[in-house]
Amino acid sequence: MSEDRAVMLQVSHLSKLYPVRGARILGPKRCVHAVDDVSFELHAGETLGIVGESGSGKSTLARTLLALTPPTGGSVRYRGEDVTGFRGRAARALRAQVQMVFQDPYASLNPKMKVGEAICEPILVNRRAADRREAAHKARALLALVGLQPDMFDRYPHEFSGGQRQRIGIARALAVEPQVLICDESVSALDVSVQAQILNLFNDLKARLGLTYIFIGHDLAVVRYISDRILVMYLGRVMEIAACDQLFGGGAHPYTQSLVSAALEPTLDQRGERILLQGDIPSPIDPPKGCRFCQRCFCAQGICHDAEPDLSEREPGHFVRCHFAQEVKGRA
Amino acid sequence: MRRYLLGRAARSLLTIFISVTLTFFIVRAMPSNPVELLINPYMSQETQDMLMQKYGLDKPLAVQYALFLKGLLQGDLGVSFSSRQPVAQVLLQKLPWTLLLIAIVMALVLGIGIPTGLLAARRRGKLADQVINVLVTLGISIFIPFLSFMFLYIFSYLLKVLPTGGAYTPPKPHGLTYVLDVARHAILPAATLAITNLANVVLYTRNSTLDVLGEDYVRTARAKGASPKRAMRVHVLRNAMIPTVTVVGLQVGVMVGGAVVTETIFAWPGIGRMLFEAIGALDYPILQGGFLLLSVSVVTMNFITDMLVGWLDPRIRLGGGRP
Amino acid sequence: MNQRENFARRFARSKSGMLGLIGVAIIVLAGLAAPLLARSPAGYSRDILLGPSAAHLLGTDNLGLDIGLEILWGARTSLYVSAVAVLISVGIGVPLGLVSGYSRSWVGETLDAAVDIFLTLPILPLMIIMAAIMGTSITNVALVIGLFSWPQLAKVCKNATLKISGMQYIEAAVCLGYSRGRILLHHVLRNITGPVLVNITLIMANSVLAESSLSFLGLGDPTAWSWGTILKRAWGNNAVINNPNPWWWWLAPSVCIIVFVVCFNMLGTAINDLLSPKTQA
Repeated sequence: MSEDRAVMLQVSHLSKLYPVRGARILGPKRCVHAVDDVSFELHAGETLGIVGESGSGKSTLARTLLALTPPTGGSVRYRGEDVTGFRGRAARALRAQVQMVFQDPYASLNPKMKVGEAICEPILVNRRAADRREAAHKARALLALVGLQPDMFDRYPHEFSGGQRQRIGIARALAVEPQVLICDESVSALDVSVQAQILNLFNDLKARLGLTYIFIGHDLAVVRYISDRILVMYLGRVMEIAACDQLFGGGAHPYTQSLVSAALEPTLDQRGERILLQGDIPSPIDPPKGCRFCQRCFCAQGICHDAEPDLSEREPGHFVRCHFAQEVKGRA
Repeated sequence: MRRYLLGRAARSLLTIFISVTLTFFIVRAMPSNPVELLINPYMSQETQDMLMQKYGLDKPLAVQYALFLKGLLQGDLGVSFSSRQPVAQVLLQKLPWTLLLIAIVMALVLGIGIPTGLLAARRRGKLADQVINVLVTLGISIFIPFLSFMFLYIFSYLLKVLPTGGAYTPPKPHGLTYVLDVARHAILPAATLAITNLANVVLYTRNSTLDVLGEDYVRTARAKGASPKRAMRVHVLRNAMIPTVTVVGLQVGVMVGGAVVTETIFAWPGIGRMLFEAIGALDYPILQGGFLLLSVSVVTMNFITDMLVGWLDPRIRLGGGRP
Repeated sequence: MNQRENFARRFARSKSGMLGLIGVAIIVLAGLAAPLLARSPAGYSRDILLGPSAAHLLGTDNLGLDIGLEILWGARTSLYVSAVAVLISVGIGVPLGLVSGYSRSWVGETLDAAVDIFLTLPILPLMIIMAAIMGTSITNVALVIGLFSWPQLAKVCKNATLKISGMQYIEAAVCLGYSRGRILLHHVLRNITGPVLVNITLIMANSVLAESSLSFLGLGDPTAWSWGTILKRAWGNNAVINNPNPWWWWLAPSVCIIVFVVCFNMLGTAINDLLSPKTQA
């Protein structure tokens, strides 16, 4: 469906393993598999949602994409150019194109910095303005763009509400004039009513500035609202990639089905039987040998415990990592 | 636990090595080379050369350093400029007195400091806590000569009940009289040094106890029906002691510094008084040896507190991880 | 309301903090204005060991010097030494602390281990050796004290940096393409000024104690007026236990030292209390 559009980011086999501290010096090295062999493409102008439980590696994936932590394997290409594990100058060049909006609006702003200063700084550092006056001018325009009063320029972050702070965070990311915006749980910390406002702001900005988004969240309803395609992660692995309607149209991965059935949807139809997952997400240290989801899957069979399935294309643009991808019929 | 102790032991050895190196270069590499003081310009050239050779001063600095290290390993700390005795011998005579003083002070500091800190924590915000807080602020600000002078003025000048200095009344008595005499002489220096070191221990015991008292597991213990006393004994004390013990370990270095001043004022015949006398005589081998001995004692004390912390903290005792 | 105004207002309400601030201000003013207030206590007189009187507010010593004047001029020495010590400690301790707290590589760990080692060493005996060798001048004493006062500051600075560098706004700064130096100076340093300030007041207090101790042990500058040197002479002449007792001789300088130190410590404690999140909540 979006094959015709240019590929902004191409992620191939990206991995991030953390060695476990305190293990015995001799003996096998143990690792936390935070992000494990993740591949996907991000097309210009789309919004790719990434969902998963906490601990599934979504945030690590975002940090690895921006090389805030160096990956341990795989590659990231931005518009065809390899930018994996970049440092110094190359890193800055990439970060001028790809920016991030953080989760916690209270922790992501420097409390000792006035709002205007916080927005002017990236403008000046990334040479988006010739001098301080132009930068201040641009910063005021950005404040207006994200729906804040330009006279908030001289105030400190602690004078603002969570939603307003998140708008400041967005303005700061936009100050760099990026092409791609990664939103890491950017609305999760906000009240539901404020969430909707910020989501609408994201949609509005996308239309006005032609941005491309990666939108990370744990709330499927929120991610669905904003995304064109959705990537489902579990224990560091991609379980499913599909367009929104494919994903919600049934017949997806058992894990996705359980997520869909857990999401509240206003509907007149009688709700299907809810799929309740047993137990917690297993430890990402030494994950299960077979399918990562086998211990909690409601339709796991012998093969699921022995061999890990590949990510296979079930229908065009719809990838599923399940041995029974063709057979599983939606229960939801 | 073993890994933790090995790490700490390695760090202790490194600390000693660094103090050795520091003193060597401070003493030898300074512009006013102190060993030159030994050589009298009125001596004949041959005598000068002979002395230079004897002390290895004609060799390059690196060689001198290697020789110095080699000597140290054999227990050779050089010869005192003023008394011409081997430094190691002088130090061994003085060390027991300093150790005696420090041991008394430690017992006082722990015996008084920890209960006082616990009291302040239990009565947080009440009168006792406020009084203790004021005393702590005064305590961390105390200047040892001032405290010593007050004690001397009150107990030796006005009341005339305690001796003004020394460790015993010459001629050296014997038996029980000797012990009692030393104890009488130790009262003022020990009290001075203990008071200056109490404040920090009280402060840390109070604060860490307050931290632990606020922990969920203490509330859980109380909710399960443990009496306040039992909760204090079983759940609070052990955890609150960990930072306190660490602080006592760090305090030893400061305490030893205070001992130099205290021993000087009370003419207590330990390492500190010896250092003071060496300053006047510009006796560098003694200064150097004295500092090294003090460093080794401090490092040893630190190692002991590390072991205590390891024993108190099950995260270290059972696992290999850091606290 | 501005954060800074807010801080000043809360500080004004803290009794011990204001007391400390006033005390510090008086000492600093007295030290700065000493040449205007009084002549330097030069020249011996025949007024030997006189008690406090209208002519000699704090009495005289065995050489006939006015102790009040000596103390006034001694304040200059104390301030000079502690100021130099603070400058040196800040110059060494803050950069070391920033780097060892921010760097996740072996550099940080090595620096951290070095600081820990310096913290355990018996510093006063080390200062004694160094001062004895460098020779007795007040600048040397100040240098020696400064050279050994930084480990504490480095430790405080490192711990604060460690806390701040885990904050999301530091990650955001990396993400926005700021250089390492800009992040450290613009974002980390700005947020650790509180603990650093508190530690500076402690260094002021401790370096006066160290200077007095060194002077008392005979390592001070014999030509400079210093509280420790007055005490040394008093003690050398058995002033504490002689009969009749010239109590003013040893009491006045001791009280000055204690007042100086207590004022700085109270100031530091007050700032610390205001900064700690427990009291803010």
